[in-house]
Amino acid sequence: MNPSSPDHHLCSDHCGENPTVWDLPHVPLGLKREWLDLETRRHFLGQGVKALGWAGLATLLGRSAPNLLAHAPIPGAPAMLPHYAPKAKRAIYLFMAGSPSQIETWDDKPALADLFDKDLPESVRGGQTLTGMTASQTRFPIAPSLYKFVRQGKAGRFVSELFPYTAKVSDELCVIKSLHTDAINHEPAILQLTTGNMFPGKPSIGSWLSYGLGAMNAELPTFVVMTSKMPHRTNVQALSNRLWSSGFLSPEHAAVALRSGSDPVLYLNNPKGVASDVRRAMIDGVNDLNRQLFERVGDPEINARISQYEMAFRMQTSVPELTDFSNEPQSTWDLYGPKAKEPGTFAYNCLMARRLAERGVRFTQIFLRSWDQHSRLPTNIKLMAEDSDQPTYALVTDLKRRGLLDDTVVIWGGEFGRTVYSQGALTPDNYGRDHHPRCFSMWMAGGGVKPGISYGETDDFSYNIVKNPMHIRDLHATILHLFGLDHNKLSFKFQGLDQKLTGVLPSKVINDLLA
Amino acid sequence: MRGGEGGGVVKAGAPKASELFIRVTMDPTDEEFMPADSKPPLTPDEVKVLEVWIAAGASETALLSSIKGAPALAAPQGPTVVLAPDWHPRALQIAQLEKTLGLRLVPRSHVPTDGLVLRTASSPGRCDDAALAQLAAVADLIVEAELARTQITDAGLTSIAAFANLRTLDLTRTAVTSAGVGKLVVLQKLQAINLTSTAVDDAGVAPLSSVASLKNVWTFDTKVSPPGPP
Repeated sequence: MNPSSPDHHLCSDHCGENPTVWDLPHVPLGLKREWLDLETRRHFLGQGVKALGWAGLATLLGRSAPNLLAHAPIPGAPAMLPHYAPKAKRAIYLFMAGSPSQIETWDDKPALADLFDKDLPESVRGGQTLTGMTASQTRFPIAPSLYKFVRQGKAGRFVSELFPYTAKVSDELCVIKSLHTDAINHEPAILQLTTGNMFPGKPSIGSWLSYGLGAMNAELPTFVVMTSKMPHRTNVQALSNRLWSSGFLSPEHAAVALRSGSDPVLYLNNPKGVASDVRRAMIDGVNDLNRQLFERVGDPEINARISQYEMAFRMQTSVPELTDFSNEPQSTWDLYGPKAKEPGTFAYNCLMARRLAERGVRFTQIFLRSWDQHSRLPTNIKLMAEDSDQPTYALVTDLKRRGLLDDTVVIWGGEFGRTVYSQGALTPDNYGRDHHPRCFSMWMAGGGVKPGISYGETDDFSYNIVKNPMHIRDLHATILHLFGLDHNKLSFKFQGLDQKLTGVLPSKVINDLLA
Repeated sequence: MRGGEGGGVVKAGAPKASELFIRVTMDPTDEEFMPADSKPPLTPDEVKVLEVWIAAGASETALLSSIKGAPALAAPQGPTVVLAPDWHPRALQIAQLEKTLGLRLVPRSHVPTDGLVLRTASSPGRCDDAALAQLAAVADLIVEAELARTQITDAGLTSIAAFANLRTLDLTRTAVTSAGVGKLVVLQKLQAINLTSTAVDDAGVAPLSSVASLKNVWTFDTKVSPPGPP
C-alpha cells in the first residue's frame, strides 16, 4: 500500500467531513480492525500517544493492558482470557511425522495373527480409493503385527512391546483409537493436524493459543517448535514453517524454531565486537523508525516487527539460560538417557520441552520424522521406537514428579494411520503398510485429560471405526477446551469468515476424555 | 396442563398435533413462535425431548431415561462456584501493582469470580518477599500463585498465608524451608502445593496434613522421603 499513490484517497473528499477508518477505500478489513483497536486504546487512555506502537503501549502499561482495558471491550481483539478456567496451561505435542502404524503401537489386534496372508475382505475396504502406492496391488494380504502387546499398569492396558518405557506410564495415558482424518497423503494430513486445514496459510494450534491467551513468559516465545535428529532415514517428508506459521494472525503468534547445536536461535547473538548496549541503541533506533512508519501507513505487520525485535533482544538473555543444561542433576540424565546430552536428538528435545514448560512456554511442538514405513516396517519401526520410547516416558515422568503434568497436556501421534494389509511382499518377518486416514491412534496425558482410559474402537482389521469416531477437528476442539477456550468462540475475521481452528464443519469437545 | 383459548397444550401420542410442539418448531420469525419476545429458541435436543415425550404419551411421571429415543440432555448449569470476589472493582489497583512490582495478576477466566493468577514467569528475579508484602490489597483475589524460581523466602510465606482463597501454590526452586511451610496451614482452600527443589524435609511438610482441602504435595528433589509403595 502506498499512501502517496494518486489513486489512493485517504482524504475527506470521498468519505465526508470526518471519515472513520471504516469509510476508507482500499484498506484491508484486518488493518482497519487493528487500527480501531489502537484508536480505542488511545481513547481509553486519554493520552496523545499516537506515535506509539503496541510495543510502546506495552511498556507504558507495564504489560497490563488486558487488565486495564477489561472494562473497555475492544471489537475484534483477542480475548486474552480463557472463556472458562483452564485445566491446561501448556501443551507439549510430540508429532510423530510420517505416521507410526497404529497396529504395532496402540490398536492391539491379536486375532489378526490367525489371518496372516489372508486377503482383506473387499467389504472392509468398501470401494475406498487407495494411494498410487498400493492401488495397483493384485492382493491385499493381511499383515498381523510382529510385535506383541503386554498387559501393563493398574488399568491393565495392553501396550506394545515396542514401548517398554512408555508402558511404565501407561496409567497416565488416555489412548484414542478412533481418530480419523481427511487426507491420505502426508503434507495435507500434517497441515490439517497442525493447522486444522489441509491447505497452507492457516494458523497453527500454538498460534491460536498464543492469540487467544497471550504469553505466560514475555521473555520467551509462546510457541516453540523443534525438529529431531532421526535414528534412520526412510521416506522422510520435508517439514516447513507453514506447519507452525501464524497464518492470517499477527506474525508474533508464529512459532520460534529452536535449532539444535550451539546457536539455537539464528542471528540471536550479537556479532563479534557489538556490545549489548550498542545493540540496544540500534534496536531502539530501528523501532523508532518502524513506529514512524506505522504512524504513516498503519500496517499492523510493523508492530509485529517491533515486538519481534523486542522479543529477540529479551531472548538474548533468556535463551542461553534455557539451553544451559549444566545445572540438570544426574537424575535427569538417568531418566532421559545418554542421548539427551546430544543437541537435536529427540531425547534432548524432550528435556528441552520440560525446561520450556517450567519457564511458562505455552505450546511446544517436537517433530520426529521417519515413521513412514511403506516397507521394512518391522525393522524400522523398532529403530524409531528405540529412539523415542525412553525420552517419551521420561518427559511424562519428569513432568509428573515435578508437579507439572497436572496443567501440562502431552500429546503423541502421527498424521494418519496405516493399512492392515501389506504394501509390497508379505513374509513372516517383513512387510510394509500404506497410508490410512480412516482410523489411527494417538494418546494424551495430563492437563485435565482422564488418565488410564482408552477411547473409541476399530473393527477387527483396524480399518474402520466401529465406536466413538473422533475427527481431528474434535481433537482440536478438545485441546482448546483444556486451555479454557471454546473452539466456536476463538475466531478471527478473515476473508469474510469468522475463521476458527476447527473450521466451519461441526466439531465437538469429547467430554469422555476429560478428567 | 390447563391449556388456553385454543384448546389443550399437548395431544398425547401426537407431537405434530400438539400446540406446545407446534409453537416451538414453527418459523422463529412467526409472532406465535415460542419462547416469545426474542428469547433464545429451544435447542434441537430440547425440542427432541418434547417430541419423544409427547409421542410416548406425555406422561407426567415418566422419567426421561425411560423414554426410547430421548437424547441425553446436558446437566443444567449449577450455580457458578465463587472462588474469589469479583476483581473488576479493583482493576486499576491491580494494574498499578503489576506495573510497580513487575509481576502479573491475570484473571483466570472471563468469569469475574474465578480469581486471579499471580504470575511471575517473565521475571522471577523481581519477585521477592517485599513484593509479596505489597499484595495485601488483592490477597483475597489470588487463587493461583506461580512463584517458581522467585526470590521469596520463609518471610514471604507470611504474605502468602493471607491469600485466603489460594488453591494452588508453586514454590519450586525457591529458598523456602521447613520452618516456613507451617505458616501455610491457615490456607484452608489450598489444593496443591509444589515444593520441588526446595530445602523442605519430612518435618517441614508434616503440618500440611492438617489442610483438609490439600490433594497434591509435590516434593521431588527435596529431603522429603518418597512415598512408600501403594
